[in-house]
Amino acid sequence: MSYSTISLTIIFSWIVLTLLIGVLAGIKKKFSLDGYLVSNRSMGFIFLYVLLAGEIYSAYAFLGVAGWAYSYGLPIMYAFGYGTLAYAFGYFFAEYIWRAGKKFSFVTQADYFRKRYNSKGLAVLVALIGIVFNVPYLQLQLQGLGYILHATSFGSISVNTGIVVGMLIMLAYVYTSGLRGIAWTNLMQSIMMFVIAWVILFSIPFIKFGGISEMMKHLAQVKPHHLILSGKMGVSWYISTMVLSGLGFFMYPQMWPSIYSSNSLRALKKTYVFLPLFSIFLLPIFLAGASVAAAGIHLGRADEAVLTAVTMVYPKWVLGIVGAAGFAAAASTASAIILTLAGLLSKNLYGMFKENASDKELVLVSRISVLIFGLAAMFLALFAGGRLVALLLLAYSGITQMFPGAFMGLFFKRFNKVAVTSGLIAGLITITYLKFFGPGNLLGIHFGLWGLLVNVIITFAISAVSKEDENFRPFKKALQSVEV
Amino acid sequence: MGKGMAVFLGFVIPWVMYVVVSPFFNYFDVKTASPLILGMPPLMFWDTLWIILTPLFLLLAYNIEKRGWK
Repeated sequence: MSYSTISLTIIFSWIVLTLLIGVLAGIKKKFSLDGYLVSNRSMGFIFLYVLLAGEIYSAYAFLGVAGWAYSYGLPIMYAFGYGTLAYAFGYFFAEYIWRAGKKFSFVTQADYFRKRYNSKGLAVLVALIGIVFNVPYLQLQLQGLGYILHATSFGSISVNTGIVVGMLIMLAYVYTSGLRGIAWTNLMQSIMMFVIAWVILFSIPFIKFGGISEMMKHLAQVKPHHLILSGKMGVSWYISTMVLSGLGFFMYPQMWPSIYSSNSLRALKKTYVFLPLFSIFLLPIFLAGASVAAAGIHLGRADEAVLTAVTMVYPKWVLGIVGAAGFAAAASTASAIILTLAGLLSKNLYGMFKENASDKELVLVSRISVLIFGLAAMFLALFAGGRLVALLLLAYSGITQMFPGAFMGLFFKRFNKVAVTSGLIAGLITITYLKFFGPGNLLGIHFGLWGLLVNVIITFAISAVSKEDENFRPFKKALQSVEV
Repeated sequence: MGKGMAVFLGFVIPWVMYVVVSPFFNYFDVKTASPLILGMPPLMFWDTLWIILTPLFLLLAYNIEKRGWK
């Protein structure tokens, strides 16, 4: 059997296994909206852990981290830092989200904003921001997935075929099984990602150079600036990007349904205690990318680094295993995004304008929304590769602008819908100006952090001249009344 | 020991270690390719170390907090 046939067999087997497990997880179940979007708040520690780990680490954990390690070296350390910072923050913040979800039966992030600020308009704005900034992210996942399947099958699967097959598989199990299907598939996807990173990628610098130290010494000769933060990606950039990403992490709407789905506060907290240990799989990915740079190999595109690293030391068919892991990483993230966007569209846009919609109707609309977003992202990936790049450049910074409303609104009683909406809009205007019309990272500090600063100032300024928000105390009291 | 201590251990310490302390580890002599700690430049070593230490501090926070849960 040729190496490309072996590789293709491995990838195909993995994809079929994913489909079977995802569909079987929910095919015989009749779902309520709670059941479909947040799995009836029944997730224990193990499922919650793999659900989040799979959701958080995407195709770009493999392609991007190795690509940055190859192109820039140490600046990618910000990704090591921000994940851990986000989990340390999330350990405390997620408790409030979970309590609110349990008390008021929330299924989306926008539900939270609607209740805390008693504002349909703000909830719609939050839902739209979540959708607008996540669709390009979803498209990017699909493009990454298509690329990985194409490269690791040695061209047997074209990029477009990879995109279509990947999306159809995801749609099948997300449509059928909702969050339950994602949790079951993520159980295998996250194990696959972790094992492949540690077994295959970690060994690369040892096989190629004789150890990590030896690889770093080579790297110091070939690319000396890779081993220290300097220039445009200096310390200011590193810290501000880490802080922005650490704070913005929980503002991504796909984090919220997973938190709501926890069956207890203990399970939720334990998940955040141990999530940093999953993120350590970024280390072998970094080492793989750095090994390619240390070997003095020139790549056409940085995304190729992780695959090139594998072929440097292993037989070619091993790429099939890495392809399966890449599919796992992309599918586990993309499927959660699709379901979250479907929830925002059905519950917060459709449901708000048709308030008497039944639970059954909302499940049907959610399922139709799954198909709408999945197919929209697929067509964008197929026919409009770079069209949404502007949105993508703003995505993380844009999503982070929800931080004052989501988190600070828990502690400042004068925060109200006018203040939060104004701050949010001011933040979005600031980042758009800095990124596309201004100097970008002013004073070397990430433009998203400047947006957040303007946002916070505006929110506080308007709150300062307002009375106490009448929703604040009842909301806080309700959260405290939740039994854990 | 209550919520304040849990926040200090689980939140303040990791954030300080990355945001405040880690930049001081941004040094490396490319001519001698040193220092390398477990094969890593100091900043990389520090950031990796705290991926491992943070769960320990979060576990301490968890143990403090769970005493207050019914």
